[in-house]
Amino acid sequence: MEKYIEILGAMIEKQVPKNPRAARRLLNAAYSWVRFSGGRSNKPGVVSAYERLNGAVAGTLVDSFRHPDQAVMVNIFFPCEMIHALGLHPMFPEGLSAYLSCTACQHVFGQAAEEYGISESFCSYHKTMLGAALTGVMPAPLLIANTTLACDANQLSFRQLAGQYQVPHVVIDVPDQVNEDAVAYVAGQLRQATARMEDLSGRKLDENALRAAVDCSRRTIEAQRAFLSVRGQVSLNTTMTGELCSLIANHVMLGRSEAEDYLRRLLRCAKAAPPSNPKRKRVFWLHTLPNWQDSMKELLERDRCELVGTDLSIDYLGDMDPEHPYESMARRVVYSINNGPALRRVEASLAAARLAGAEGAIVFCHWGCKQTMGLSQLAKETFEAAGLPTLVLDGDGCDSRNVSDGQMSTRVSAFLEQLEGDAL
Amino acid sequence: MIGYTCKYTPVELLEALGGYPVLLDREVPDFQLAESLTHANLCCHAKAALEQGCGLEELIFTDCCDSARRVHDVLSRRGTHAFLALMDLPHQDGPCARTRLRDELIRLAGEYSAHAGVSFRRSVFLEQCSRAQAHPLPPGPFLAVLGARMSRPLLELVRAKLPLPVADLTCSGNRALPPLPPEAGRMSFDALMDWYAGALLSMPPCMRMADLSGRRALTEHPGLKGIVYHTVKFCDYYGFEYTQLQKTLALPMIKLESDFTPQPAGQLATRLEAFAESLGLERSKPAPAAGTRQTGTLYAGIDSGSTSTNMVVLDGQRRILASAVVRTGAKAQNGAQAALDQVCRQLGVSGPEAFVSVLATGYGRGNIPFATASRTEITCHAKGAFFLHPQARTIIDIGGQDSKVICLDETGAVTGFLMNDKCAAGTGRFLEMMARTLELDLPEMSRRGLEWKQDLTISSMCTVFAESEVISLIADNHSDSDIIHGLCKSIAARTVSMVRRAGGKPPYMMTGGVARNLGVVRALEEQLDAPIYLPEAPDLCGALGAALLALEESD
Repeated sequence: MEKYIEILGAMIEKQVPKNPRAARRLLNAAYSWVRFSGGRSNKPGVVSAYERLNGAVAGTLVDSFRHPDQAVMVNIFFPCEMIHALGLHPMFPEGLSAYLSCTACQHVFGQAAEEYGISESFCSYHKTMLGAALTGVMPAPLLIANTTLACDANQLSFRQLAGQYQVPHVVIDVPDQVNEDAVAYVAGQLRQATARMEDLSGRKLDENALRAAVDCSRRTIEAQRAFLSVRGQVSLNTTMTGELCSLIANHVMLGRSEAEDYLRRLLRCAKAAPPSNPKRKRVFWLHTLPNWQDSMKELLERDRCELVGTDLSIDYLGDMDPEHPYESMARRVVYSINNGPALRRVEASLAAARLAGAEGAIVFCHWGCKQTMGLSQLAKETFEAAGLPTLVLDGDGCDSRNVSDGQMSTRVSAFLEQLEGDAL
Repeated sequence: MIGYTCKYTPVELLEALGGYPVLLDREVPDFQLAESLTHANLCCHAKAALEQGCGLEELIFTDCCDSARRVHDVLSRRGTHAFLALMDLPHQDGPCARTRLRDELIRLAGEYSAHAGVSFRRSVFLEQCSRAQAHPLPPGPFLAVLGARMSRPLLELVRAKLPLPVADLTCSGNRALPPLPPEAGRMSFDALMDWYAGALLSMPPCMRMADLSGRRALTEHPGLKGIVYHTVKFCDYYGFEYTQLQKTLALPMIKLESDFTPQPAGQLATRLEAFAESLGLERSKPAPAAGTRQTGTLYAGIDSGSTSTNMVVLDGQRRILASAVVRTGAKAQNGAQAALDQVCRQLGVSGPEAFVSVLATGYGRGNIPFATASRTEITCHAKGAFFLHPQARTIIDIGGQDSKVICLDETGAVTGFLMNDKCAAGTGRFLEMMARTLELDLPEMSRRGLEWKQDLTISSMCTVFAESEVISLIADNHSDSDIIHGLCKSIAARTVSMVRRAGGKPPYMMTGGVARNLGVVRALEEQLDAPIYLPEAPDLCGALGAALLALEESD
């Protein structure tokens, strides 16, 4: 991590207990800079696409911090097209947790949550965001809205946040069964949630604006499908942060022009990219990524390895129909590969890994994520039966306190050696 | 026999279809199979259910948590069960959710009926539903186990150790249905399932449901005198409610965390007995053994800990006449005898006949043949600490295998306490392991820790991870002193978190063997932003409190 980021992180951590508003101002200043510089990025290859989307995401964090009374706090799987159409700001604290860890100031928030009584074994993205709220750094939004997909932590954290902030809370109950009845059930709840947003914000939803947002999502997913069809034959200088950008573009940012622009840029880069480089092992990743961790960057982003995709960014690639916006959003949630039996997610990931020309896969058991831990062996067996060597890797996407850095490096290095050995 | 885990399971329906539902609430010796199929950090109840479930031919899970879903998924992949189902349970309880659950019950009934070859028996269903209506709480005052499901052996232990009847109000325990509608005998199957879906959703909600207002009834019963709050290792749901109740509930409450393996009896007994002591409703204690006591003039306290056994002897004026600190060794009994021999030599007496009473505390307190009474170390530490420093309001005790935070009021009464769980991080054992890694003895480690120059941070919370972090720092040529300082800060961070969770307030006092490590004490003072009072002999505090109690109780 750059020295100046460590200094900034230390400054923020120092301010948090005594003056949380000052800490918020420092974060705002830092993320405003990311927005400014990202929006002007013209670097070659995928870097420009990453930096632009990163800037846009940082911008949503800044907007939601500056105008919390116009922000709806959501989880990463909540469909946000109605929020975009209403001109409100999505505030997604799981994303904030990832940003805080890359700003080297996450420990103070994790510790604050544990001091409050949150279990040490709880998902650290959620623990960090709870800490950000408990310390007063993350402001109270207009409304909290979350889906029960994809994990238990949503139910717990967002309810806790609603109680703490004393703000209205909407839960979208996503059935485990993947069928059209479930789509209708979820669509009804999304309509009610939108009405609640209208009531609380005093804004009237323009149905045309909602249709336009869903149409933008449709075009974005189309661009993503086109990108994925090319991705398997080419080599790109991907990064863990870039893969997280793809995840956010395909979720909270879906329905906004920045996400469409991001996927179109990726597609252009892929079409112009050189063919697959046999010296770099192509690895498909399951679950979130530890983009704060220098040792992992060294192994996964340099000349030995190329990350070719993640399951979280391809969890729904179906069509969106602007004439049926609520059903389209509901279908995206219900038919997400993260819903239903684990085998749906594993098989869809295997298909995506093959399409991306992966030579190996890493199942990342992020600290506290029972969903991924629970399917890790199932995924390994399925992938290996299909001829794809797989590493189950324990780690943490945002809190170094739960990580044995040396052990992780050894495991990933040995896995790359295994893949390199297979190629001999 | 069909195994199930969740109170929302339609057990009456399964019985009406010829099933024999059995709650999976046993402890298992290990998680060998479960961890080979899933992961070590999955909810321990789910792993235990997997281990037990593999011995049954029929299993039903509800979609109640991530871990349960994944256990179903991996068992489904194995394909070794004759019947295996996952019931899709809504998070909401409104009309749409009820309709969804009705349809799900109809689907399950069809699948189980086809498997069992038994058609729906209405009379059995109605009879089972009638039986499930009665869920009487104990008459009169009672205690309750709340939170996540508890293993049957642990529930039995809790019931044996506590002085009032204990109701099981955990997520698999408080199961009761509303009365059947009068026309139940004539209703169509679908209409009956619609009623049943509503009945299941009307039970006091578990923590995965969206609307929790129905849970208030669990803690507002006038007969409820105290709560044992249970959480399961790696289950996320109930820690949130415990934290909330801790801040809002006026009733006495103790938290137990278990992992569905046989639990360490000593630590559990300590907690439960300390809880009973705090209720003022202790079970009656055996009288002193006749003929061996009431003859002397001295009062003794003996603290049988995991690392050392400590003994203090007082006279009737509360003056300390003798004390001993010896290694406990492999048997608590031998350590206790060695401590007794040492104080007897100091006093010039021949044996325990010289003592009016000997009160034992610590993990080994039940195995000391010459003790006349016993008390938990929570009560004894509080007593000793208050005697030495009456201003103290929070006692931080870090011993060999556990750490505790005890909060006192101005009279010295215990107002709350927290203990660490099975994990060794933040205890004396952690320091011992790290000293071994650094090839130092403990006094040397304490001395060197104060000579640090570079402010290193050991961020890993786990003892094993921390050890590998220390090895990396050694490899990077960092000095012993800087590494030890990082370790002291790590212990302090963990301890301060416990102090905050317990609601600890200054003035602070520290007892236990780790109080001799000044590096830890300084790091704690810095993080608490307050001074810590250290007694002259911090490891004798529990034994002193025991001796004081021996004297008071003899009076």
